[in-house]
Amino acid sequence: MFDATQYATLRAVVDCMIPADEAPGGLMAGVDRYLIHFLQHDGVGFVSQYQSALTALQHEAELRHAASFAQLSQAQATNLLHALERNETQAVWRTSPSAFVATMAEHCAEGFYADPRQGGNAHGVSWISIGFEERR
Amino acid sequence: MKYDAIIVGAGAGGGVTAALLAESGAKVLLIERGKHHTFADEKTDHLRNHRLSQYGQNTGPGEGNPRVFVTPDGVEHIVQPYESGYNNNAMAVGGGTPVYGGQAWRFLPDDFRMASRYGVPKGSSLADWPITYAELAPYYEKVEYEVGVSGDSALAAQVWPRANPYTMPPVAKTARGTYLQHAANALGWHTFTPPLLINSVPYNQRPACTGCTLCVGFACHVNAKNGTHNTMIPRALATGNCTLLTETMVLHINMHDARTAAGVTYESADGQRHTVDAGLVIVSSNAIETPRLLFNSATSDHPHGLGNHSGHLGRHLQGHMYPRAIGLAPEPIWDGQGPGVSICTTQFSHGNPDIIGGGMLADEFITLPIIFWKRFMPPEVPRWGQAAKEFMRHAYPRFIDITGPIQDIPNPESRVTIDASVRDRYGLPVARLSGQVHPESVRTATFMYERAKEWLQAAGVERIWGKPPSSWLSAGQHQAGTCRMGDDPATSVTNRHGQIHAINNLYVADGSLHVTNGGFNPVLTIMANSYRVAEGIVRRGK
Ligand SMILES: Cc1cc2nc3c(=O)[nH]c(=O)nc-3n(C[C@H](O)[C@H](O)[C@H](O)COP(=O)(O)OP(=O)(O)OC[C@H]3O[C@@H](n4cnc5c(N)ncnc54)[C@H](O)[C@@H]3O)c2cc1C
Repeated sequence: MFDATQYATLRAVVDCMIPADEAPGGLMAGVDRYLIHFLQHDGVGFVSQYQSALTALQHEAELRHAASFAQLSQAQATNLLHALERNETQAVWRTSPSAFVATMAEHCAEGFYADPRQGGNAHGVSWISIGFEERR
Repeated sequence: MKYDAIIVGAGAGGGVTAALLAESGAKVLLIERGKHHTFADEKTDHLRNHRLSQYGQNTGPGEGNPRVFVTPDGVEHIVQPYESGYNNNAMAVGGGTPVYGGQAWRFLPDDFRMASRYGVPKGSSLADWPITYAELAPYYEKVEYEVGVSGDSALAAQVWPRANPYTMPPVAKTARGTYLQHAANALGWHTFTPPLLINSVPYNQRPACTGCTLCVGFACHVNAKNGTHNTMIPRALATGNCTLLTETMVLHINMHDARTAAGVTYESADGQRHTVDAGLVIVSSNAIETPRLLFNSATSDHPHGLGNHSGHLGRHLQGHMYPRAIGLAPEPIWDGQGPGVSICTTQFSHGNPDIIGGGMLADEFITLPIIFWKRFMPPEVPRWGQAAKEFMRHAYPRFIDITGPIQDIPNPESRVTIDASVRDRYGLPVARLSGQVHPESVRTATFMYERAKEWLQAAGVERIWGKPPSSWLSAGQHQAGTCRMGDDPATSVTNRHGQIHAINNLYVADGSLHVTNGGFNPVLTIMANSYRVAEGIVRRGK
């Protein structure tokens, strides 16, 4: 579904959207793998939006920082995503940049905060950090 | 074989009706399009359940059962069962009841006489019920006892005239409930633990609630949630007089002549179609599918649908607007105690200055983290990045939300019809939902939103936010009103007995009968009214 660059970009966006701090972030919890599984199943309708946006994101990074998106610092990546939220672009976008950021943020949260059985909240790390415990 | 009665839909209303008819000795065929749904069938999927159906649901309907939803701008949308425009309840043996939250409200005496008390606002179809609270009260009591309701008898008795106490004590209070109790005391508001169709102690040979963190939207893991699936339907089957068909869709009600129903045609899971006759047909398919089936069964005698002689079939569709305010307690307050809802007030159900009716306010069922993220975050908080993560960590253990249904003011333009072009997998026209809530409902919702904020303020929370009510159609899980009862055939679909005016042996027994839907969750009233309808059928020997 994604080429190597697109996949690296996807992981870097996940890392930006749910960063690791004193608690694990999205990558450690498996949100990137969750997204792939999601896009192969209930999320198939989003695949072309992701493909096109991830490629455009890479171009944005190249134009702005002469680097690939995955190489950007957390601050650079975050600022770039904020610019996209305002639809400020330098590369060519075939899909709405702000809509993509909002959509992917929602999908990341679904993986991270939903039940660990989905694959994006490994060992319930997000739940531990907010104090939710699944109890029967 | 010819049955005495066919009941279409084994939900809240259909389940109660089946038990009473079968126990009276009648041969009953109970037909349900869904399956049995117990905890063993439960995937405990936080994104695909009846509380958050982002990509699917834990019961049906599934593929091939769309509806058409018309947004206020007049645009038609084809919607799937898990999308909000579908206004789904749930589809299973028990209907909504295996997965519901089980709030077990009686309506108040004035809820049955809204037009007399308040007059009829312009553009609304506000009307009195043909029956009074006093007439329904004995049936409320039977349902509370036979299905099983826990509650705060002494405090509730200050709100409703009631003959006897609840048979189970109230469920456990959460830390949040205790915190809100102090605030309500300071405000001088009367509060109590909401009555619930949940066992607080072992009851009916089933165990007590374990207070788990998975409740509303899911089947109960110890079967402590009481619905028709584990009470009335098993009772019906135990008589030997009731046959239950599951995964079976009723397509059509067949007429013998203009005034007599002959039976139904259904399709079973194997795709075979069958026609079966009965002395009596009772439609209990819920407030959207019941009118749809009646429309789809039109004949030359009833060209606009069975029961539509007055043009009222499908109209007055109402669920409940749900104003909601959220705040953060200064210290963590989340204790993970289910079912979670543990304090309410009926202080504003009636008698509010310049408001027609009012509503009930309560705290919330156990809230799964992803539901908090999707529905309860303040609009200005970022949805991603460090700030979003920190907000979740700070807010989830501290949040308190206060919400509740308002008394919707019905209007005839909020309605179910059938779509002219979209068909379901059976080839039948699908339900088409259109209209908006009445402006008086928006006013009430805004008023109740302010009261919810007032409660949070009095509690000393850090920050308060919420969503001002919108004017979109309200139907959803509390859908009601589309086959309203009445003594005047010109302004109603059925008479007070639930019988379709012009047809001698065709009845409705579900939320469709509600003339108004109270300022409370509706299911106890649906069950009590169906009990009354079914008992009437038995008594009159039909
Ligand atoms: C998650 C959730 C939480 C809820 N919480 C509460 C609560 O706390 N308190 C409360 O009062 N209410 C609650 N409700 C709402 C409550 O469940 C409904 O008010 C109630 O179930 C409606 O009863 P009914 O008899 O009108 O219809 P239903 O219970 O919906 O039953 C209708 C049945 O008919 C079947 N059917 C429809 N068409 C056909 C057909 N053509 N052929 C065969 N079968 C058919 C359906 O599959 C369904 O099983 C909740 C609902 C849900 C889903």
